[in-house]
Amino acid sequence: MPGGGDTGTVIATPARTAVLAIAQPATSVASGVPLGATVWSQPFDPADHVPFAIDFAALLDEGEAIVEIEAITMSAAGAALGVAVDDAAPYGPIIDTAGKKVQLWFVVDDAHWSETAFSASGVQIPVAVRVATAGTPPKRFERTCVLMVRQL
Amino acid sequence: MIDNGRRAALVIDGVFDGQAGVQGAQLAFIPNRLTKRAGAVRGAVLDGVPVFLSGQRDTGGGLWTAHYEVIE
Repeated sequence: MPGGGDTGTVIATPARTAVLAIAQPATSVASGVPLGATVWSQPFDPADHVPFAIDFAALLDEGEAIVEIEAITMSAAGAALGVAVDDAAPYGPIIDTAGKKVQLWFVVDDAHWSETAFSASGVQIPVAVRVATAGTPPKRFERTCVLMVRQL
Repeated sequence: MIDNGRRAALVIDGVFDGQAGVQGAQLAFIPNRLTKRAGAVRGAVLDGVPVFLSGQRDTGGGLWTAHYEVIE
């Protein structure tokens, strides 16, 4: 499994990049999800295997960079439906070379590809990511983003 | 670094009997027994251990989440 400080080239498209806001809205995104959590605009088919990214740039100071992914926590909803963050090479989480984004690959256990929960409007799967920066002094941010998983 | 949660045996009388998703003190399940309303039941058995459920909510797609505490 890659380490929390691995860097690389982020290839997630803009539609698969959650851009975090400086001041997170207090509006409800979904039941049981932190208020204002950012939702990836592109939904995810349970049989997909593609990268998604989180852009922390707005939260960072000038010249500040993410140096470590401390934790990635899949929700109970994801665990129930076989949704996971892939940690197998070359799909493990990385920090982009500029230190502003984190990239994750999601994968769904193929035993769950036909879950009825993924039909129609699908399910919202929260994922929390905690990163540390090399600021002076160092900072830590944890944000929850929401992956929409449905049959496409 | 990555915690993908776990799946565990969960029995909620009249609501669910099967494998639930668990992350920390939260669990998620899709009801597969229909004799009781998912939001109304407070007792359950998780991995053979009695637990108390609170905050059950329907999060869409038929999925319910709840917090649990082990009953001492």
